[in-house]
Amino acid sequence: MKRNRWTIAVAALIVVMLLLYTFCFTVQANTVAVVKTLGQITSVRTEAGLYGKWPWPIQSVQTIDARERQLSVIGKEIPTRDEKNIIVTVVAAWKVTDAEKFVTRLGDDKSAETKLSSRIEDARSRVIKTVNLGDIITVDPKQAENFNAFHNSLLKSIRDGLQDADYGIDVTHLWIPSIAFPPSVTEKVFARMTQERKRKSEKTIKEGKNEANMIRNQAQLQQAKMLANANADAIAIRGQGEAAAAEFYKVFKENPELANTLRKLDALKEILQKRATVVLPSDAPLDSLLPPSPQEKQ
Amino acid sequence: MMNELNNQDFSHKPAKRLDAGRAEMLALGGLGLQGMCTLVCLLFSWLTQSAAYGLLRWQAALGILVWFLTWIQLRLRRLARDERLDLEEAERRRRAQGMQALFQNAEEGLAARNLRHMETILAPIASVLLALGLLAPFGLFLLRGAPWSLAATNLRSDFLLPAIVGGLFVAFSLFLLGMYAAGMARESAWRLLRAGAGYSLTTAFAGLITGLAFTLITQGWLATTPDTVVCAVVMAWMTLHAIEILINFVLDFYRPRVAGTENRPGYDSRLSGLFAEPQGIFHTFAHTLDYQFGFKVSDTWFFRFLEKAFMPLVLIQLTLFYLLSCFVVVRPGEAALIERWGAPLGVRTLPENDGDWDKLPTPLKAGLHIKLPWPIETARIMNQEKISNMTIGYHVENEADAKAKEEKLRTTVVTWDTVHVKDENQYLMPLPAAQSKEGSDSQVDALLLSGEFRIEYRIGNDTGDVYRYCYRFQNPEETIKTIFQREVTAFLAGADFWDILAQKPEETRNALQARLSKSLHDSGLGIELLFLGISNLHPPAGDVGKSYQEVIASGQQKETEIHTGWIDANEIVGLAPSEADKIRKAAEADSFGVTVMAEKQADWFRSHEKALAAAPSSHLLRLRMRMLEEALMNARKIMAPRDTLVIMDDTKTVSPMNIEKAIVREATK
Repeated sequence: MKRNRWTIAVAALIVVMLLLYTFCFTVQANTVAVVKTLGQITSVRTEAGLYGKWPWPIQSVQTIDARERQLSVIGKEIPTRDEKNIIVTVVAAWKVTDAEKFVTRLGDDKSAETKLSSRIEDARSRVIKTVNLGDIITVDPKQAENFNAFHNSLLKSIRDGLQDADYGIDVTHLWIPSIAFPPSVTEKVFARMTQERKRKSEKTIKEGKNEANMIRNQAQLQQAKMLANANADAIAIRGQGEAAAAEFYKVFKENPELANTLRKLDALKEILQKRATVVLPSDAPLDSLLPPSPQEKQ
Repeated sequence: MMNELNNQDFSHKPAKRLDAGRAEMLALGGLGLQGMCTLVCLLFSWLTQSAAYGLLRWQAALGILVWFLTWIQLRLRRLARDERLDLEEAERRRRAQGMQALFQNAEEGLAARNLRHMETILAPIASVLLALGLLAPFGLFLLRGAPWSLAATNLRSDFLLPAIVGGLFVAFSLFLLGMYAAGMARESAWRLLRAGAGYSLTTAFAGLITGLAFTLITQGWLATTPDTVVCAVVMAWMTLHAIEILINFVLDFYRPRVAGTENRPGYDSRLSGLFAEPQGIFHTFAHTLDYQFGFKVSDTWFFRFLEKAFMPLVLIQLTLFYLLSCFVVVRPGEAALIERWGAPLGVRTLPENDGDWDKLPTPLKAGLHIKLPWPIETARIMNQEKISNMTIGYHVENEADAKAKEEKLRTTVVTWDTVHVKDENQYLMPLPAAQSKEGSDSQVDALLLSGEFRIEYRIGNDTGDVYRYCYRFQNPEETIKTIFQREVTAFLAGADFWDILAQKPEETRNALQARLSKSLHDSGLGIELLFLGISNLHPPAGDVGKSYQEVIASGQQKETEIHTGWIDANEIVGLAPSEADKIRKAAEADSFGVTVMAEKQADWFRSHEKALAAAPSSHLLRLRMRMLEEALMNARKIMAPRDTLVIMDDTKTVSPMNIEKAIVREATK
């Protein structure tokens, strides 16, 4: 029985705590609690702390985060004023400024984000069409100013829309983390960048080849000149040799018959030494192959 | 078998007379309450699409079977006992009237036979069915995957609070039923209630943790994880429960039937019994010790003291553990904010103006601090000295993907021609002025640049910075990342491509850092930018990057071509003087040869002249013959018969063979 008392005490403690939980609620710092009694908003608690309430289903509490939170709106292809299509991603920091209106008109975060998304998309679509891509992507010193103007114009457009709608939310910051071209245009930019570099590299290579060829040509010219000079010299030298030899050949004049016979014999010897076939009749004298000697002639 | 049944517990009269009908009524009540709880679970399972409730409804539904079996077995036992008492009474009367016994041997009555069929056939089969039912969720898990993967995405938030109440209702009602039934089951006549009691308490526990899980979910803690965890715990418990029943079913065939001992039905789980009789753990432990030591260890004063003091000790331990939440240890470099019921101490409403944040109370610094216990006061501890970092430049799916890409970039030699990291950001940049002047009429005057941008930051040192970081933005890190990306995009959109890529890196980095620092400060995040690193800048990796490499390579190729030209030139010009010299020398040699030969020929001629003068005919003959000898030494010689006409058939193909054929032909004519 004693053991049962412990068990029951612990169980009762847990149950009491859980029941207390249904009678109390806390509001965290930078959150807002909207208390509904039988479905009607009866109070809004903006100060952090512990509060009491009637248990469900009499009263229920909807807690709303009042901190700034991000909403990213993925980019869509939109033409600029100068007809260049770009994809701009927008991130908005928004927060709940009036919890009662927020609950009544939007309900919850999901609904708020859906409505805010569509308003951002609408504003983005309109504002992008008023700017030139060349004004925001340029090395012009006014680029930063133009970019901020584009950004502020977008923020103002969204805030004006929200103010008119009176949803109880506000966009505190707006950021453009990404600007991109559509994939097909990006591919063309790739191609152009590639071709521009290719043009440059080919130009450089051609310059090298041209310079190399010019060096070779110059060398060949130089070589040709040197060889031409050498050949001219060679002709002169050979002429001198022939002239000197002619002095010695005067001796042949003393006995031209002998000189001719000796020369013929030399010539025949040279001729017959190269794969010659000699056909001689069996009764022909051996020297019938030879030219007749001066005596034979006589 | 019949004798065994006759000797079972139900035939023994209890020490005090207990109303069997009361146990039956309780079993029926248990059946009804278990059914009602099943309906509650079914309702919330449908409303919330919760995985935990989905499993709980099935677990609760199987409890109906347990209570039904309990009720029917209790009823049959009562009927069997009444039947036996009636038979005994009739027999005693017959004997008193001097009549012989109606039955020589005790025969089995109808109720006893029904009970026997129930306990030997129906109860084991029902136990196996119960086990299969308990195993079904695990089987489905193996076949179709975890049920909570669906629940995590589809959990509906509209009925979270009622779901808490539903879980607590199940817990509370079945707890009362289970404890009451467990108390009754201590009496041997009502022992069968133990099965239903244990099972209901199990369901009560599962309902309690489901309610707690939904409490955590409503607080926004751990997203839908509590639902997942409860689902896993309940499934594990059901699987263990089923395995135990199946093991008992098998072992029951080999269990010796001893007269006078209780038969525990197969569906009466020992595991569930732990909920009904927590002290049973001690008894089991004590019996084990007794067996091991050979004497009654469980009778010693120490063991009895331990048994009595166990629960208080556990509670004291839990209390002490809870009281630990009164202490906050703030380590050096950290700052802590104490929140009472969610509000930072000394702050009811956070200021609207940025300057007022610095007037808030100073956060707690390093040391030991005391606070009220949870949930009254909680501490938010932030490390002000910790330097966090963030990298952008490529898309990451999650934390693991970010780390993997960062590690890859850190350990890989990154070249422009290879895609080392997928999904790199392509930042738009204007065409450099020189390129624009080249007059392309392109519709898109922009280049693309990729790179890795890394920042290091920490929470600022101003008093308000800790508050700003904690309370201003829902997700400060995500906001920092967005601002970082925005500033890089906007900056590059107005920067010169070559200044950033190569010519002015220092100026570029400083300009971007100043811009980013201002933007972060203006956003009111309460952080301080310490460092900006720009690395790995390159045109889009792959073919584009390769074309940039080729420009650098083309410079090298140009130089190579020029050097090759010079090498060829050297080859051409370098040998020209020697070739010229060769020509000259050859001419000189020819000239010399001609001269020398002429001189020697002149000498030779004079010597022949002298020889001819001395012996005119013989010298000439000798000269001619020697010439013939020398000339014909290697020549082919054919001697033709006299008067043979040698006709050369084909003057174009004069050959020895032709001549031979001609000779033969002429000879045979």
